[in-house]
Amino acid sequence: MSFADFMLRVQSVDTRIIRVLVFLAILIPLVNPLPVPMVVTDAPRTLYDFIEQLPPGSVMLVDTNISAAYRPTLYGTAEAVFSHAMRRGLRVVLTSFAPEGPMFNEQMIESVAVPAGKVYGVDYVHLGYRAGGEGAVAEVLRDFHGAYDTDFHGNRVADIPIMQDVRTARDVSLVVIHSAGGYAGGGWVRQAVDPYGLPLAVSVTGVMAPSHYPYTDAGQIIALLSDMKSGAEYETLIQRPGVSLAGMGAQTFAHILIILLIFLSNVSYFANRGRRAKK
Amino acid sequence: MISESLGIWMAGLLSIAIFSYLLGDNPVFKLAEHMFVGAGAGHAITMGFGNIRDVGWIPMVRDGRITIIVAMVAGLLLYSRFVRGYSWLARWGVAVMVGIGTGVLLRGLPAAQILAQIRATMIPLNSIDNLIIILGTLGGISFFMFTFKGNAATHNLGLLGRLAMMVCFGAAFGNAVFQRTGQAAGAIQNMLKVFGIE
Repeated sequence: MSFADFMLRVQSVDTRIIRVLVFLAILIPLVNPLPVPMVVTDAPRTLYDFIEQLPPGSVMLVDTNISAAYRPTLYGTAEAVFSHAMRRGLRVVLTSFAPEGPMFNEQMIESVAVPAGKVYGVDYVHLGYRAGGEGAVAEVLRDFHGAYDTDFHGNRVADIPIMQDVRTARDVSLVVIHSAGGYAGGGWVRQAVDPYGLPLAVSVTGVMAPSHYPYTDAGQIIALLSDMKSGAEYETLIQRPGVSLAGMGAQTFAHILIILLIFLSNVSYFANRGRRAKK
Repeated sequence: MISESLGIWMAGLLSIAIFSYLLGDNPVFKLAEHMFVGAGAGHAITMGFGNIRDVGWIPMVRDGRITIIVAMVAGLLLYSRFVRGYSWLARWGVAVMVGIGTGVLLRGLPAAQILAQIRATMIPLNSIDNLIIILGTLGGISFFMFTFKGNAATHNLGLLGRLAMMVCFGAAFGNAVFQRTGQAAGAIQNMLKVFGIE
């Protein structure tokens, strides 16, 4: 087969072959993990440094707006940031404005707070899901006790020790949101940053990241964490390897394959365009 | 070592069932798809019900916060669309939701998304980054300027804006690829957990 014929056949390749190649490119590095050098970029470093300089006992508010389909891309970051906050002695208030969020908050508690011996209600609290999207965010920040009568486990919020010191947004030192969609960073900028001047860190899916860059440039978001990569970087910073770092080898190989495929298809396109022009 | 956890087996088998779509639509994929939709809907209904109970019913009945009844009635009106002859009442519920939603949004929008963004573009022309930000912003605005017929300058600025947007879309596509491969990696990790590989 000549080069020209090969280039022609590339354009009509069965897409199932490409799918199998991508599947293998992801599968093989997961079965045989390869060390991937991890360069920590500015965003995870900024959030890490911000948490480091907060005095122990400061309150960090977390909105876990993750759905099951986006767990692989966002959960690693959420767990790493929560772990860092616990290690630093911050008090963490876990909330969610998406129905599936509480499930991941509970997973974080099981894998981070419980093994660390942290006390529920003193070191952290899980307030649970609140419907209403951005409107609910505004309500919670205005009056935590008015918005939440009970926590996720049915305890009265008024009786929880940590909530004695957390009544409005003024009592919060940092907001971290993990969002797979919806109002995301824009909603929190409108309801938390502008009215209360709260420092806001945002962790979003890769697709959502470009739409959040303007907020970063305007100084409204202190750190924009994007997808699994930022999670892997944060896990590197806190030296706690997790699901994000485990997936980076697969990411790397899949990307190399996709770049090669894009390159090959473009070469094929231009080669065949020349042939068509000759005809 | 093969996992003994039923949850891990279910996650692994359902992931394989979903991936089987790569070879074409089939009954196994359909089964997994319907289970995913059903579980998601069931979970959302449960959480929604709990939310109504905790935020609406209990404070109203136990604590005597009678004003909540206004929101409860507005919410119930949404279901009037299922009652022939009274479906128009649903518009009242929707109107309350739209009105409150718009009010909440407008509260922060002008300062957060207009003034702050304009301020962020008022930067000195002392670096390539700043120049790109300013030209990209002006170009983007020029491209969507349809209210008057522009001249050659605005046309060229619009072309520059289109170029900036194409770069942005390229970045978004790259991020999309990154996200999808990440999701695929997560699903394959589920499958591998069955065999004790994490």
